[in-house]
Amino acid sequence: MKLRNPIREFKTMQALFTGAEAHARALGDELPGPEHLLLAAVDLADGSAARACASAGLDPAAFRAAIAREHDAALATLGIHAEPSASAAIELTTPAGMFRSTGQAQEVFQRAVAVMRESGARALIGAHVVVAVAELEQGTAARALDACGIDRSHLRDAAMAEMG
Amino acid sequence: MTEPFTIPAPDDPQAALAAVVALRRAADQLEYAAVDHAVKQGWSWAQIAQALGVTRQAVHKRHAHRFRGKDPK
Repeated sequence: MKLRNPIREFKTMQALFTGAEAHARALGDELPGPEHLLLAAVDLADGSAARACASAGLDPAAFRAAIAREHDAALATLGIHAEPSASAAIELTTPAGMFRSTGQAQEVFQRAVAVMRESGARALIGAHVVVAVAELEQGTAARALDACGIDRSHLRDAAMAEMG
Repeated sequence: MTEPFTIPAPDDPQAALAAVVALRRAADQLEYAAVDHAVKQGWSWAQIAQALGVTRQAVHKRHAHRFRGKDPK
């Protein structure tokens, strides 16, 4: 994976994965997945992910709530009804300098970098991550987007439009 | 006696796989909370590992960084 400006890309990657980890912990997940990467992309300073989500009608707070609801609903299909306290944030500290995430989140990040390169962009921005997440057809991120009434291809188009 | 939980219908893989994900998350959260309490009650890593059915190295790798400076034996 060759990056055009390794130092700048590292800073974006650091912001993305540190943010994703914080969102994961707040939602009670040990490791960040694509849904947390999407939330972290919205927080990025370039603003492209936030604009793409707004354009597609996705409210990040509603998305966060939908993630929790999807997990609760899935547990309920097993007859398990979690108490609110069971979804408490996981408290952990990460060894410095390490980006921990699920394999799927790493694949999403690699796809985001590929989207950047395909578009001829010179730097990774949040919209690239949104495209990569919106392309997922299964899993928590896709389910939560569906639950928010978001057309994933519409979200992808909105992110593509942000890439100019 | 009732079944502890029901298994989603196999003809709906999406629901069944989502349930697997949710169950793993719940198990992780329970493990974190249980290990926290065990450490606070003075359990050693060896005791926790034995109770979890994993190696001491495995439990140490997953949890020790949360207890820096107040490491159990």
